[in-house]
Amino acid sequence: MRILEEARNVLIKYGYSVSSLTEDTLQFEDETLLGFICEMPLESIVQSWCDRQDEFLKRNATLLRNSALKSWNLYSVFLSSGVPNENDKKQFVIIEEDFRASRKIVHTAIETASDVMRALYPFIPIQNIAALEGTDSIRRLRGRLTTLPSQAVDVLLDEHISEDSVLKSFQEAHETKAN
Amino acid sequence: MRLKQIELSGFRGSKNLTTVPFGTGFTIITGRNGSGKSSICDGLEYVLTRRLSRFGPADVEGGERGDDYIWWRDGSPPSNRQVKVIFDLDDGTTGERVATPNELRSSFEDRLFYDNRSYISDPLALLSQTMLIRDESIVKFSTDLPEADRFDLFYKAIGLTDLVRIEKRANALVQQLKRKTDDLEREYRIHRETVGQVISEISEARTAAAQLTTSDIATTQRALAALAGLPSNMSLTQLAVKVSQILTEQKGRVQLLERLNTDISKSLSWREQLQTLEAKCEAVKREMDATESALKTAAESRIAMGEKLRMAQVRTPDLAALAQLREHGLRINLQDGHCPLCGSAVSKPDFEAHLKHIQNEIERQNKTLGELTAQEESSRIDYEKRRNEFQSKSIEYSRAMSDCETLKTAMAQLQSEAASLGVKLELASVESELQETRKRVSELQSGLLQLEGSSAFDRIADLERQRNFAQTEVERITRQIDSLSQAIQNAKNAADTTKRVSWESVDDCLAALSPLLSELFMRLKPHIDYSEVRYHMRGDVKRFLSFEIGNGINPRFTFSSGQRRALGIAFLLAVHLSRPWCKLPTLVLDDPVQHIDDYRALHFAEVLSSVRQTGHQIICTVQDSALADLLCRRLRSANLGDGLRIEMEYEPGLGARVKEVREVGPLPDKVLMFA
Repeated sequence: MRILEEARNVLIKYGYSVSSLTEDTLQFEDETLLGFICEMPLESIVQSWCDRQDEFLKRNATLLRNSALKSWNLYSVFLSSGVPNENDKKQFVIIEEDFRASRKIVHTAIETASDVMRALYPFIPIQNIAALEGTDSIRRLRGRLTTLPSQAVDVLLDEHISEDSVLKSFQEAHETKAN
Repeated sequence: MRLKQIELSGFRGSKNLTTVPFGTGFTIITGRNGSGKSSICDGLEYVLTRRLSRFGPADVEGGERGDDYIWWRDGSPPSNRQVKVIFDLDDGTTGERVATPNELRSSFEDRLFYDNRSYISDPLALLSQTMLIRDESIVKFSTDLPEADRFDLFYKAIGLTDLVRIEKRANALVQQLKRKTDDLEREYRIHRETVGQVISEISEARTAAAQLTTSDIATTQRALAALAGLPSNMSLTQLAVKVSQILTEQKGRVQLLERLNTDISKSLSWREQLQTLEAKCEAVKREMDATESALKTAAESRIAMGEKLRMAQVRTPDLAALAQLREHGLRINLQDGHCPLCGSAVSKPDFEAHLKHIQNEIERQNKTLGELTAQEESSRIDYEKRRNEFQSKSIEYSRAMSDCETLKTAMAQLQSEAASLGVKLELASVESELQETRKRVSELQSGLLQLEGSSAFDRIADLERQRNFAQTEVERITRQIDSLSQAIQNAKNAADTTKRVSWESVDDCLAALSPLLSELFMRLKPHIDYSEVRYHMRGDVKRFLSFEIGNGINPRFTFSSGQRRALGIAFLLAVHLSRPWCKLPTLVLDDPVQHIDDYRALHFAEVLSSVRQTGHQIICTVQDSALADLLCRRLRSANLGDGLRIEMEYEPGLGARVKEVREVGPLPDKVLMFA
């Protein structure tokens, strides 16, 4: 999968301006954030993340100096399809917890578009907001109460019908059945 | 709907009016401990629910409760006590809710806060509970919450309470049907007891009936019916009842005849007495008339004498004055040949003769008045005497007349009694009837005694009818109980099915929510080794909701407090973002990042930014000023509404106040200058 291309699509979808810097790097910006995304082999991340960051900073030094507070929202994102071992994971945590110059994100083992989406979570809205509705459950309940006459089910489910009426209906339901 | 502003007066940590505006997009409130940040969150909760959930009913210390500290109570009293929250409503207008110690008033209806289609018993409490994420709630309602309570919170938050209502309704139905069955069971027992009792009585009656032959009974029945003048085809029981009534009547007739007989004996002398009394009446009447005439004469005489005396008194000069004049003359005597009374010249003999004349006149007039007074007194005494005589005769006459009337009434009554008994008012006739009636009573009594022995057969028939009725009732009730049992079973099935469906629905909702929870967990990254969290639900009678990470590991027992808080925030945010019924998309967080390191605080800021991008208004209080700046930088956006940074401070004696309100404007749009 082309990680960088997928990342570009995601960012554009959510309103970012995106442009390529090099073959493996693209830069992005919206009204709040800015930064770059670099796709690289897993083993290169630990060695070159700092150089890549410095390179970006140097390239945009003047612009960032004039950007007031926006430069505080600078992100350096390193993506890789490689699968890390335990030692790699520790190293990546160290990189992410280094707050100097930019906020670092390291995301590895990327195989699918969803993995890219997850890597870019800090830049995009909450994705999985569920529209939970209770109406289906009533329909489901009605479908289950098949042993009861439909009239008894109707009065049971209708909150505007008094409990006395429900009682009467349940009694009559059986009496009718018995007759 | 959005929160626009809150005003606190004399509430919690604010003594004087403290006005805190809210940005339409976000508001970050910072300040040191005690600067009033939490009072704002308290105010929001109080104006929605009129209570503070952080103070439960069990929060009692030294006899005081948390509720005693809702309103400012330190030092001098504040000028006002109220919380006012102003809302931007969806129709473009504003509305306000004001809570005071005594009331809650709102300029708009509560239903604007929630979707009416969902049945939630206390929607504003639930709204408040899921809108406010506070330090207490992160601990209380997150990983540290008992599994059952966590399930309950989630269950309500997703608005599935329609099913709760239906389940309650079905269970109430079961209880009602059971009560009705209990009533029928009682009725059943009563009728069964009746059947048993009647069967026992039938057995006794049969024993009594066995001692009589059928021919004995028939003969007795015919004879008694003839004697009583009743039809011979009446049942034994009816005949016995009727004869008993006749017997009672005849016994009463005997008593009446006996009294009539006695009275007739007495009445033989009554006519003679009446003649004597009537003669006496006439004599007394004559005497009364005579005394009345004499009384009239005496009255006239008395009036005439009274008039005569009054005329004499009018004609007579004042005797006392005349006697006094004479006394003066005698004492002073003649003065130099002049009268001391009138001053005229007079000789001594003439003066004495005048005094003598006055003396004589006084005596004469005294004598005349004395005689007239005596005559008037005499006529008065005579009048009194005549009047007494007349009154005496009148009474005597009235008594005599009354005696006559009494005697006449008694004679008429006797006549009436004889007529009512159908006999002549003669001694022989009454005595004959008395004998006849006594004989009849005796025969009826004798016949009735025989009949009672033979009535056992009728009694058996009656008892058998009673037994049949009771037995029919028993069968009817048994059928009803059977019917109710089926209805109870149906209602129980309905309740069980509802519970099952509601749990299934929760399962489905959790399944639908699971990606959101996982996403939030992934975004907050509470733990390096675990990037995913799963939920786990169990329990048949009561449901439990727990979390699971890795290979069946419970984070409650493995995560640090900061990590548990991060997971708790993920869960509470997931609940907050899954409220289809809520119309107020505002998330309020009260100092949510305690015990969380900088790395995770940064993740938290990014999550809030992502929540904000979904259109939620965010209000967040933090103690750390640098964190407040970070949040402001990260949340700012030109397209998603205004942002505010508010700094609170504590002023000794006056409590919380707003130190600074700063607008957080947008950042430069194009820094990297793309082509």
